[in-house]
Amino acid sequence: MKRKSTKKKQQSLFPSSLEVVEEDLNEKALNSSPDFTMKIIETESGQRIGFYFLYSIIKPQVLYEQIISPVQKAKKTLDIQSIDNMIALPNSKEENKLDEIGKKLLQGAVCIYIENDQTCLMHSAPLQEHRSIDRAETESLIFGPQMAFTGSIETNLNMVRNMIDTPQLKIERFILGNKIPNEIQMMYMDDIANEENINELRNRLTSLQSEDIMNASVLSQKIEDNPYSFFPQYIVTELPDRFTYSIKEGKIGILVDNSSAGIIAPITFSSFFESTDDIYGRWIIGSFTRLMRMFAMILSITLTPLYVAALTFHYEVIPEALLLSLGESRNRVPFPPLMETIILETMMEFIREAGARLPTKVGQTMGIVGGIVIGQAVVQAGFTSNILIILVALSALASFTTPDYVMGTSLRILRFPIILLAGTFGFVGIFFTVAFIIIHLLRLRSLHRPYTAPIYPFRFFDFDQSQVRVPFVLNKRRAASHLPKKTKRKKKTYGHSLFKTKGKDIDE
Amino acid sequence: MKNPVNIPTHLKFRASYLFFIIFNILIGVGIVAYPSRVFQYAKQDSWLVLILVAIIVHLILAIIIFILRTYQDTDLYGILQETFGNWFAKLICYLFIIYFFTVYLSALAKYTEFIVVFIFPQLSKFIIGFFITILIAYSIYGGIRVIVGVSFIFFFLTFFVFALLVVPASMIDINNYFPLFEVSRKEVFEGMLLSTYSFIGIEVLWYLYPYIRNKEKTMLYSQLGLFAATILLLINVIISIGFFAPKQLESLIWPVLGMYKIISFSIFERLDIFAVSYWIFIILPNLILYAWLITRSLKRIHQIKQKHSIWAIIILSAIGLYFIQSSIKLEALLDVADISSIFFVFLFPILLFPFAIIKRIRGTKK
Repeated sequence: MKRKSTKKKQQSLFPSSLEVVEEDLNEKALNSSPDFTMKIIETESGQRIGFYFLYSIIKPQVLYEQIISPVQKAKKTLDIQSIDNMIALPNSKEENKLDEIGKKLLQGAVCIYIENDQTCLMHSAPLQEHRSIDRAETESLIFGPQMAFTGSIETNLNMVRNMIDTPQLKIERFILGNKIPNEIQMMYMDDIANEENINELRNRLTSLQSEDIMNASVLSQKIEDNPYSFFPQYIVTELPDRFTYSIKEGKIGILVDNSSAGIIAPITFSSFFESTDDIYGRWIIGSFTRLMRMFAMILSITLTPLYVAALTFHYEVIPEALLLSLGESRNRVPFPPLMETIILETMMEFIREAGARLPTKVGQTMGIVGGIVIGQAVVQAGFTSNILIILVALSALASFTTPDYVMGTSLRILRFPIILLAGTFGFVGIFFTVAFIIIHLLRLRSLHRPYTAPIYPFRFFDFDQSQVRVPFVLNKRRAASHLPKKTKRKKKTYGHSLFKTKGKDIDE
Repeated sequence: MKNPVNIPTHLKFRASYLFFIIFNILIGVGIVAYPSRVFQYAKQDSWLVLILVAIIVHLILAIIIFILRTYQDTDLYGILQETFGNWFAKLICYLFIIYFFTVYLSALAKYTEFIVVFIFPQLSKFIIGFFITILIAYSIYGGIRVIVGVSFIFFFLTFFVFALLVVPASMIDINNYFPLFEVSRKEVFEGMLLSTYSFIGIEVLWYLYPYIRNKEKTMLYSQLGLFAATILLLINVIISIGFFAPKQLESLIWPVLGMYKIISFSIFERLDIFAVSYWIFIILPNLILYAWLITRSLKRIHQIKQKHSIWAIIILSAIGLYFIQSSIKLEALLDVADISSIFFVFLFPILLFPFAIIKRIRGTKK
């Protein structure tokens, strides 16, 4: 082997004895890891062969049965090539650089070295412990497939591949993270997804300078259009069916290794209020629930502010009969409506957060304590009025109808500034904030695509799959909001010919 | 000499949005006072006056679009530059900017006055104005995409609040409309002059035209927008005449807001308070478009960044609001806006019309 410079000589490991290699590898490449192991085998022909690996990330069965045992049984004199022929595993590579060997070892490879040889052979047998495919915890479905992404990108990709088994599904692989590299896969339908969107997302991923990427949620926040906004600009979902549905509609999906969620981009504001359940159920159920969720969203952010505004400044808008009962229920309350509402809303958030953090079994008890004990006791103690409890509970309930947890929580937090402004400027404050939110939503973009589509820019034919869900017979086009390459679907979207009897009378 | 405006394609919008823009800029604070103001002159024939004015405005809008089409791909500044040269173009555009600012400031002050009168008598107009200018600056920063979007989305919100007028409409007294056609020619003329303030806003096209993607549809959608606004004004006038007794209507300042007072639901009544607060959705597109017009024309003349000139507008409107705290001063400002609008909106296009015709004739000869 040619050695060009002295610097390289120091770097180069080979040829040397097995023990020297072990020491070099462990000291220089692996920073003295206690789980670094060497196994030496002497073949019949007298060759000494070393196997180096980190036992914590090696699948022992593969190591012994597929790698060590064939080599052990060999009778001839061995070289790298013949060892590689003996081992049936794919993805072998010859290496002679210390850094590269160290990197591979850390990813779960075994280094096979024949004493005094020039290079060594790397075979990967990684062990990745992940939870098995489970039900989704944060997004639950009634009709849909009861499974969620797991932490392993292989398993996740396996699920996606199984759901979209066409060659049109294009997958691009990136290794991101300067310090701790992580694998990221971007996937889209080659014949449907918009070229501009793909390029934009690819650019954002490759130009991302980040030490490490923890998981999908973190990545999604690092490639957002407006990082200051309180609305998420990509959907991070753990449902494989939602992920694949979006890809089939021409959006782009991103999977991150070690993360049990996938990113969908670009999205619109209304897609946060859609669930795949709307598609599985009948169209009337889907349409109704979608409209209901939108209504619930508006209700959840305006109901308590309206109460505060009406009771603080505009009690003349409340009819006499209602005003009397309101006054009765409020006559023991020492606080102004603003304080009263803030206290109760905060309490509601406490209950929610405590329920989320506690173990599941205790969490249910928490609900009872929060709901019944506090709710009842607060009124009896004269802290708040009965009517406010109803309103707060109603708006909390309404905010939980949002299928996306991140969006639901953002909206719930948004309620506090509105309450504050309602308490200082009344209705004017509420409408001011609502106007602000609308302008903010108009300004937002997801991958440079308008966030408020299909309302603005107005696309009438996209409403059939965003705000409502029409029967599949009528759903002949893909949503044009993200400018897919093909908008038309295959002509026949229905099992039998629905309009066969065209031209004849009803009973003919 | 020609000075075309090159707008990147991704900033251009479909002509159909003009409908919403024209509608929104026409419907603002003016509509609230209009029925009683016109009633002072034209009495129960106010609707006739409105229709007459609307016909004239339709013609003027057609003239504006004709001129813009003749010159192609340019805005007011470019047109003036081509016909009259640099200096005169700058002068006229400056006058326009002052006019835009007068309208902007009077609308802002008028809205803050609604709030002070109806809801918060103690609150300083300054604070309300400050909050609204935040919203204006925030949307201007979003660019033309957001400005058009605001007009579009707020149109639907506007619709809802006017739909509530069904309740007073069900209580109208038919006798209030009779006798028909009693008003004299002089009164009709006076009423028409007064109605102009309700129709200012079509001048937005002078600067918006280059931004339209399919320019051949401009005429259709802007005329439709004007028509829809006219219909809404007409409905308001008709309901006001029918709903109020003649003497009462004459004495009212804001009859449209007054009508909301009697609407009542089982858990909600006195909708005038709600309507006044809600009017922010009606007034915002208006103010935003005028603020945009100012920044846009400044950019055309001096290449001042819109990002910077919007701050100048905010500061100037704060100073303006400080000086017109009293209603008398505000009325004076409104009168200025009224009178100047007759020139800037209605006479100016007519004056420019012959030049456009000459250009067309020359163009065909070549």
